[in-house]
Amino acid sequence: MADTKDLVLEVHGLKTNFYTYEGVVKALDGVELFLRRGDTMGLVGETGCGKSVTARSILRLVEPPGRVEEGEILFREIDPKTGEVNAVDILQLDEDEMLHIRGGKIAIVFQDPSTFPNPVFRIGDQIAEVILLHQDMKHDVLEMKINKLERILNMNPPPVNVSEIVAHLEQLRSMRGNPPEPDEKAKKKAAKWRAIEMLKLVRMPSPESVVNQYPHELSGGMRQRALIAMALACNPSILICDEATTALDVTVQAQVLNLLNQLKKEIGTSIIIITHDMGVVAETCNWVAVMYAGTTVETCATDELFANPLHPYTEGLLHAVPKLHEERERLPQIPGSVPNLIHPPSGCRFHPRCDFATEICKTEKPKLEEVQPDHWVACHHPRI
Amino acid sequence: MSEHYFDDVESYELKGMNHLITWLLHLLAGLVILTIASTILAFQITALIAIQIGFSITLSESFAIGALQLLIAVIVSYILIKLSIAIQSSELWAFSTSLYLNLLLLILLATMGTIGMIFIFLPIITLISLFLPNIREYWFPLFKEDMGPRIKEIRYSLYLVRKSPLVVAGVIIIVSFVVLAFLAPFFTPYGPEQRIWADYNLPPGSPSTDPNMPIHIWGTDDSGGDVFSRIFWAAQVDLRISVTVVAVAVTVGTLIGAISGFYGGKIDELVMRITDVFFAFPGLVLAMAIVMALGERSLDNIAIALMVTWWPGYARLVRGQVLAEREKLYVEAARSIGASDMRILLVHIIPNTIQPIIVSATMDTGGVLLTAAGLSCIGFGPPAGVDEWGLMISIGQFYYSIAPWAVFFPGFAILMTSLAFNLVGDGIRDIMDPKLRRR
Amino acid sequence: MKLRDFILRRMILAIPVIFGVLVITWFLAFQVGDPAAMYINENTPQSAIESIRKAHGLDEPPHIQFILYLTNLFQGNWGESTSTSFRPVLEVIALKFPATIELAMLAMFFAIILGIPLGIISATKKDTVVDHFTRVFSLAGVSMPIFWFALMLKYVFYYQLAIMGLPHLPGSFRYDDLMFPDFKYTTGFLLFDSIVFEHNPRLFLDALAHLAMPAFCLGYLTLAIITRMMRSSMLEVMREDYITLARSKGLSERVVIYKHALRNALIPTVTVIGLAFGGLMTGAVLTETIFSWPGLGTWAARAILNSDLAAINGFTLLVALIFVTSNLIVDLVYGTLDPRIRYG
Ligand SMILES: Nc1ncnc2c1ncn2[C@@H]1O[C@H](COP(=O)(O)OP(=O)(O)OP(=O)(O)O)[C@@H](O)[C@H]1O
Ligand code: SF4
Ligand SMILES: [Mg+2]
Repeated sequence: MADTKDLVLEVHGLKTNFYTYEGVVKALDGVELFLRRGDTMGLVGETGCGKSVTARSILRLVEPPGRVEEGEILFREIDPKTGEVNAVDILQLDEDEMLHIRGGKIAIVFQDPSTFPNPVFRIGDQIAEVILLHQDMKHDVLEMKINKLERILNMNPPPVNVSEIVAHLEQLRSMRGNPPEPDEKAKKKAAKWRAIEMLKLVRMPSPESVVNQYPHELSGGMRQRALIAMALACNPSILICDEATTALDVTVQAQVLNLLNQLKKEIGTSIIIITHDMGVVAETCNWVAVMYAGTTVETCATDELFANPLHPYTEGLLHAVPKLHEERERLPQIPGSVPNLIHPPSGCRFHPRCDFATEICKTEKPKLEEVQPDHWVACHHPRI
Repeated sequence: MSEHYFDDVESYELKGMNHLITWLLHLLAGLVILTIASTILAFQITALIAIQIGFSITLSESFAIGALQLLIAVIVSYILIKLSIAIQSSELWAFSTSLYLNLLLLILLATMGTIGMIFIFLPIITLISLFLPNIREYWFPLFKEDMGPRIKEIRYSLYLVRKSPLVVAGVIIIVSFVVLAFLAPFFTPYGPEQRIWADYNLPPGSPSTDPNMPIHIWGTDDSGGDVFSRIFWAAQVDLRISVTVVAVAVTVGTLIGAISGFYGGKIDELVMRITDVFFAFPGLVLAMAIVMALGERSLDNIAIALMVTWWPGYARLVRGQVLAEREKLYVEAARSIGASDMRILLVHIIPNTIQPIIVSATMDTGGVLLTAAGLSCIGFGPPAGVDEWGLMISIGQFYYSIAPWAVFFPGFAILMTSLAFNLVGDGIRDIMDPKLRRR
Repeated sequence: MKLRDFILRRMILAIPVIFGVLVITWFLAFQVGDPAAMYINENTPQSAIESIRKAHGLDEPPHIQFILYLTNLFQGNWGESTSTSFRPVLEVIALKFPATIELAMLAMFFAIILGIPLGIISATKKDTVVDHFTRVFSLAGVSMPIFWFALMLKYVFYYQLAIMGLPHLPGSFRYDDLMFPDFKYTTGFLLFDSIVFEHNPRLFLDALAHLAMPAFCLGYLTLAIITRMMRSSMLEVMREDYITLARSKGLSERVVIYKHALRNALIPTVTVIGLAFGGLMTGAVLTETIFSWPGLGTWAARAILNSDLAAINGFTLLVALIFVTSNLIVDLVYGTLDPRIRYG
């Protein structure tokens, strides 16, 4: 890996357990992730392999009976004034500092748009809420006022006291460098205005009316857009999309994914896309991490992964993807099934299903190592 | 039949239109009564036949029951025939509404005993016969296989129960009250309704004025009754009332609610309107009025009044559940393989709705106890002297400043019993609730 | 416009319910006793009995009497309450209604103010000592024999304190008429009258002291119901996805609970509060009897024991009306809390 300063997020040896009646579910055991600034990373794996738990662990949103046991989640942000990069370990922060990170620095979009927005609050208020929370609204209030004056100036017929307005406008513009502290009411108004801007950004049809609507009045695709707007409202450094598109139909899914990629350019966020659709990964991500039963088994650039999978599991996974020009009788499947995470297999968790397993695989857990340049694999016998 | 109508025997001139309306009303009432009577009759006879064919054990007994049924049928038809003749000749007594009420009560009381017996005997006989070795062979392996996951669930529930101290406390209180109520003859120092008149209003722990009698652990009341003994004698009465009332309310409510929810349409509409009416009543006042209408202030009448006021809750509950269950796929599936309505209702829907019923029945046992005690406390219960908690408070309240213990202990007993039932019911609900289950 | 249609439709739907209540009470009351018995004694001559019967329509068959009763009801004649010196029922209700409503309102106020926070605390601290304590406290409210509780309160706060010579709460009636002999009811709501019309803060405090025990006693059951409902709906809501979303936005736990969760959890609780208002009327019968509160409850209990038919009918009709109205109000409040509900 190049310079650690490029990495906005680094996860090492993440371990999360759920303490249930049946026993301890060892949901994550040694998750390793690197996310470069400005990258889109795909996090893939079978259902139940711990993708969502990873996302929640990063935001420390794992709820009882679950608990993040150990590991290191390094989050690096660039100080806007000095340009220095300072790293924090999310797992060491206290709850108050965590509140700044959640929503402000790292935002998440969840899978199911029908259950995630709060049904009793208006869409606009839910977006404005997170803006008010994380941003001092000085600039926004000012911008809103300038915007309003400009609109008045451009009115047809033009207003009578043009010169007065222009003077006022100039005065406001001159304050841009150091805007005054606004009052609560102006803040709320500005937040709402920002909410509309956010909805415009996510290409929501008729954003002015949608801000005043309740979630149940929107379609699934619109709700998902609203959730994305909510997540992007504070220009987070990292956006995690936990199967954000799975519940949508194919055309809407494509639209949302395109949107995400455009937004990435506009806002400059790094994105983690959680999915089990290899097609989505191929289209939108430039970096991939493959998970199996709570561990990262392989991580590298997307093209590299498709061209040269090194882990036996990834190999199987890619074979399972139907290719258009290849006619097959039956899709090949990885034999066996996902292991029980209460009593996970010893050593490499994949060994009961692996064709290449040897004695050492049963006893020793393979570490994630850089087997080829920029290509990490956790396997005793990588398929070089 | 209200006496004052018998007093004026002179015939009463009814005029054209009125006469017709009266006639129709009576015809309707008569039909209703006849339907109820014959439904009960048919139900019981079927049950009897089932018992006889299936087990051929209680032959002589069932003959006795059958004979009683026949007697009721004969009496009812006789009264109805007499009634229509009386209406024809415009005799006044025939226009009394109390006639119908008394008739209904007669049927209810006469059948209650037999229904109760069937309800008790049928399950016992079924249970015993299920465990006969050659019958057991048929169902046990299947049952075991089928019950595997269920047993796991039950184990998990039991685990949760054990982890919940409040439920455990509730169960312990209930069990000890029931045991103490049954053992009352063996450990209470004074007999039921035994009074030592010289010992009035003695504080707890004082010795009796009669040197041969044991001390009064919890003191005495105004008429020299031993509070400690009376409370445990009364436990029998109060527990019996609340359990009976809830049992009847659950049975009636469940059946009506299930039928209403299952068939929907007009029946459903009607049943729901009726339950609406019951909900709009203040329950206690309705119960009071029923007790008064029944003519005599007694525990039995309180029980009947509470049965009448309590079933609509269950009807609603079960209807709601049935409506939800009915939509589910499995009923469709069952219907498509040709199961009859009755079978779907009994085999598929009722077992699945049983859990909320258990919860609210447990909690209602406490509620009924409270209401029954409340009724007898404000003067709708039996005459003074009967061992019943509410009544003890009712009498004790006049002396509450001199002998507060005569009020405190019975009330505390009510509180504890009712609380225990509520603890258990509430705990079960928390444990069973699928939304809260896996935590 | 839509709202008005909704209210109208609900009112029309309430008519059969009210009618059912009327039928049942009237025929039950008919069983309770002979209305004529109140007007006669053993010396009344037979002919006078006849004329009394005729005058009150008691010589008609029951269904005709019922129809007569209904017509009178609509003309505002609810009959005469024989147990209240033969005063018209409506007049007695107007007299006693404020006393009961004042009591019920205060009880409700107290129950809501305490019940909702208790429920929230219990839910957020599930399975801790606090939760167990709150649950026992609220279940005790559901299992509390009100008549006994009232007596015990009276014994401790009135009798015991009084014989110890300490300041104590009054044990009966609405105000001390020896201290305020000149007081005249205006609206009948003492807390209101004393301030607005009498300008007498001492009377206000006295009335409040008189209200304290009965209101607490009556409100405890409702408090328990509200606490339990709040706890379970809060527990349910806290597991919803939108709570996770709220947390992921970086909202503090306090905002998550008191804004996002509370608003949703209040919806079922409001229903229960509305239903509990009807329950307060039942509780009032018991509480008022013990505290000699000159309200509807005492009146109703006495009416039934004295076979005062008009009063029984009047009381149940009134309670049914209150019940129907509070249900309607609940539905309206429901609509403002839950945007998914539209009066369509
Ligand atoms: N609340 C919980 N209690 C117990 N176990 C849990 C809980 N949440 C998750 N797990 C366990 O953690 C594992 C990972 O779950 P997770 O939701 O992360 O899977 P996923 O990869 O997101 O799957 P999917 O693709 O279906 O969303 C599962 O095997 C599950 O058993
Ligand atoms: S470590 Fe061994 S078992 Fe695991 S994937 Fe590699 S070869 Fe297979
Ligand atoms: Mg997931």
